[in-house]
Amino acid sequence: MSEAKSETLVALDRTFAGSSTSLNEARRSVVDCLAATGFSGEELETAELVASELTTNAVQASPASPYRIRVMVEPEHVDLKVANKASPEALPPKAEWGPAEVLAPRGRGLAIVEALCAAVHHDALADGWLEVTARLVRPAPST
Amino acid sequence: MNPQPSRLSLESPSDRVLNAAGVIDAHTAEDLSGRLDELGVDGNVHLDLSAVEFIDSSGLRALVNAHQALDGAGHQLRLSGISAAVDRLLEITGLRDHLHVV
Repeated sequence: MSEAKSETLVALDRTFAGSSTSLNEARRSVVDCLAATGFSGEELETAELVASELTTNAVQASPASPYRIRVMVEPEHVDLKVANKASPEALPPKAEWGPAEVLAPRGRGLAIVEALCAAVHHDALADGWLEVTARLVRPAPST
Repeated sequence: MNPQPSRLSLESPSDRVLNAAGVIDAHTAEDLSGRLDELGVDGNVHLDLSAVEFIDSSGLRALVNAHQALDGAGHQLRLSGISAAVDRLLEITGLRDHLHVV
């Protein structure tokens, strides 16, 4: 697990039950956290959507396995991290999302995250956990 | 306090019309799919989303599946009440050019 830099604020660190019943609460936690860091309007809606996609992937990849959400706030960006017990093979395949894929049955979630985030990557953690990190640029402070 | 799961209510004010209210995510998308399946493919289906607070790719999958089933039978899934957020999502995924938004 990467060490947080001294200026990084861990704004959220919660673990949820690995079930679709937890997704609403997980989204609300991220939204409340990011609203407190200056996200609002469209940026906040984007963050809620990204959180939903990442947590849904975690629940679907490892049903009944808890997942952990961390929100790491830095001056210019926020990293939304979702981790659970899964292997890298559990990640949806990174496919090109183009006109031919628009009506495809799966893969839309990852395409959405990739389109909305400044960066997305995954890390294999200790004890067989996998963490996906989605980076969102912080909105400019209102003057 | 027990955390509340996502909620979706589906009402049918008239034949082949469905009003959705609440959240369409992985927890509720199957409910939507089930109701759309019940309506069958014998005619157009009108789905109003004006009271939908949130939808993600799980919800979109339900819409795409219903769209394709109806399209295959020569009919349409017509969506109304699209919020700006849902419209952005349809745009990002390319679905804006495929789904019938009225």
